[in-house]
Amino acid sequence: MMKARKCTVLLGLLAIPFLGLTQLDSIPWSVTVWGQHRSNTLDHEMGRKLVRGGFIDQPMIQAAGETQGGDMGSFGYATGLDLRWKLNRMWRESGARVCGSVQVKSVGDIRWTPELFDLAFTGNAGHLGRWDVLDGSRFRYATWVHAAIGLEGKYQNRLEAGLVLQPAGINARIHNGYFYVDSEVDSLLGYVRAEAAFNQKPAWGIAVNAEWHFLREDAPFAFHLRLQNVGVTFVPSQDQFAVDTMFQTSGLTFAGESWSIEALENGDFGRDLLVSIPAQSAWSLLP
Amino acid sequence: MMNDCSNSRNKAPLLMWLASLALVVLVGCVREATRWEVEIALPLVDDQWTWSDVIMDLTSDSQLQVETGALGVIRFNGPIAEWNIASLTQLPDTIVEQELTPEFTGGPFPVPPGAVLLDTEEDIVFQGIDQAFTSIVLESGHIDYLVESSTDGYVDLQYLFPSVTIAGVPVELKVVLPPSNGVDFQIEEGTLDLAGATIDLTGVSGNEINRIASQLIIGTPANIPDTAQVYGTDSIRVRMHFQELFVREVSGYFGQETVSFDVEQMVFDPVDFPGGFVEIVPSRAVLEFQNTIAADLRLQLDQLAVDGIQVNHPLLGQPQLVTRAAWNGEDVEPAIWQMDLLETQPAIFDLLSYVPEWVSLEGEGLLNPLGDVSGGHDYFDTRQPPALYLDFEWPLAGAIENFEIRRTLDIDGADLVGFDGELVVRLSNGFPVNWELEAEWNYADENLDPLTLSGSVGSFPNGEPLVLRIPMDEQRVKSPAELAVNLRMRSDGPVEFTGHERIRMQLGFEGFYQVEVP
Repeated sequence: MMKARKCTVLLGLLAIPFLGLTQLDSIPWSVTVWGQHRSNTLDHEMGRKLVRGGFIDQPMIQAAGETQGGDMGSFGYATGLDLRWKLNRMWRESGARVCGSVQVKSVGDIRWTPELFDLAFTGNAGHLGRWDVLDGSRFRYATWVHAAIGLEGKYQNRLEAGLVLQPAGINARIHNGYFYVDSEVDSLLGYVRAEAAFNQKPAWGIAVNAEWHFLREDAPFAFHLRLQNVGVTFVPSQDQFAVDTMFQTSGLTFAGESWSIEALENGDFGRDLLVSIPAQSAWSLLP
Repeated sequence: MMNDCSNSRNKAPLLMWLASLALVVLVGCVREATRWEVEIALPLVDDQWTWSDVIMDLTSDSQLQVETGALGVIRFNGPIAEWNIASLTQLPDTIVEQELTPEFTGGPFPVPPGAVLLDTEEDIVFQGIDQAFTSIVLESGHIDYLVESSTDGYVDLQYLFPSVTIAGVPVELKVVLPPSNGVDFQIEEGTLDLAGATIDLTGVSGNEINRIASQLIIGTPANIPDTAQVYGTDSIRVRMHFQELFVREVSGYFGQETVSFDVEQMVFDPVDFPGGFVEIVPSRAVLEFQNTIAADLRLQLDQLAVDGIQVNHPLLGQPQLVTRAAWNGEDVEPAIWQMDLLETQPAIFDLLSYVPEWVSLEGEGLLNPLGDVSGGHDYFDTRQPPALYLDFEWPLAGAIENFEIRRTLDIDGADLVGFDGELVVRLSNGFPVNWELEAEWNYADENLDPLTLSGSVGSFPNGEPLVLRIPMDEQRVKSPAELAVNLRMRSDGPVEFTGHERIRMQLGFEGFYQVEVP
């Protein structure tokens, strides 16, 4: 309910330039809706199943693994809605018009090592006695609303600045990590140095959009420069987690305070490994 | 999509477009879970059972130790039974009732504020005590009181116990009752907690026994302007109920009380140890009685038996005088009497080798067999009662024949969607004896047949680990189960143990599991 109220406030800010105008028809506007996902390893069908759901079968996973080879794999998506408007009247005879936009965007991307892909999608049974490297794997996700106002000049060159409301944001990264289970399946070794942050409250911020188009009838080419989502947000409450631990075990004991089946059932398992800093404020860049 | 102000008069296409967009978005938001199958192979449990794990089940006492070395030794030095003397640890419940009635008829007669109608000092006598207690400290206890008045005026009642103190402050009851309506009694009731109270039981005179000095004062409150109207039929009643008085310390003369002594100690619970033979040849086994009471005792142990089989000992049936303990402040030097258990006929540890269930000891003790030699200065602290101790040392050497250990594990179900694989059990034996394993996995789900497992592990160092593969599927993993394990030990002749021996049990999961991301 609170998020919805904030979105309403933001959209209300956008509506201010319309006040005093007698009719909407006097304002040219456009709406763009888009959505895309890209991956250097996952084909369209697997990407669709990751996003929309469904059963991913082994041939699909094998094909993705072969495509990835020894490189980092990545998968990302971006979707959004962009409502733009501008006034017909010039602003103070400057040759520029007042313009604005409202953008709702959601961006997510994930990056993984070949070993992490195998562990996640095929399991570790085929990796016994092998070292699995996890370095550089990452996951980011953000959704935000951007309401901006600015000026549009000749050739639709445009500069806008506005407020950003980011209801959700996640950023997680494994800086270093490896995983090993020996061929007898009687010992496991792992190391992880990673950090993650989850927004607990919506973030506020400012952002700038800019476009510059080189369009000349006598020129043999056109050049377009677009800057989008250049801005910062302030997160009033963000949970931050960090882990930098190596663990080696041949199995858990039945009873014990931390590394045991008893602790696993009580929810106390591995509690000493994770450094948790709840409800921190933080500044961050828009994705 | 562009909207030009010159051709946007007709909004119908726009509305249709927005409706279509909303439909696409709504349909697009319907997402099912993403699922895929992985094959996992992970170690899950790695636990060990040592001598301590096996023997600790015999007693929860931390006095038990397993000493490792070329020849391991099990040592136990601690209490095995305490001697409770009920007559010294709890005082009987006692009720004291007082009633004040005017010595006239008719009325009303006015009683001014601040008047005292009754002021009396009396001893509250604890009945039913054969001992002559002079003081006690209570572990717990309370007084439930009830005060009633039919007087047409305020009543001030004070019940003072100058000889009962808690942290140095005398216990007292102060009650002010409002006027009665002439029909019903005004009532006040409540409880006084006596936990930790020190009570002088020498009464008002200071020379009595088993009595609490008390002072009862009944009158009218001085700070109330109304005059009480008293009739000849009025009455003021007070009832004090001393309840559940458990003693921490007591002194006085404890009398010549005979207290029976009947100890029955479970040695091998047949649930955990169904049978077999373990050769037990201790190098020391001393049964010791420690008298911590500052009163003489005449102890006579009449019977020692193992699962009903009686054994003889030169000291059995012979009265033994155990002198009083010496108390110095909070420190006690107990008087000690000992019996060497290696001198029994037949040898008690030969009987214990056959994994008996019970060892029992019967006898009796007589307090103050020589009378009041202390002049009423017997003393008992219930936190340190007289007790039987066992000082035991058993070098770990001997033969073991089909010694059986039974354990039952309750296993919670786990929700592993689509799991299909095996639970791999690996047992490694560090004991120089052969182990045989029989286990039954009984599921709470009646549709699942129980699994029976069996195998043997050869003696250390040549025995190979026993590996069992238990088929598991989603249903079996999900169902709670009870795993009953029977382990049977067998040595080929006498063996020596170092105390380092252990059985290692490893569990691992191998199989397919369906990952589901909602």
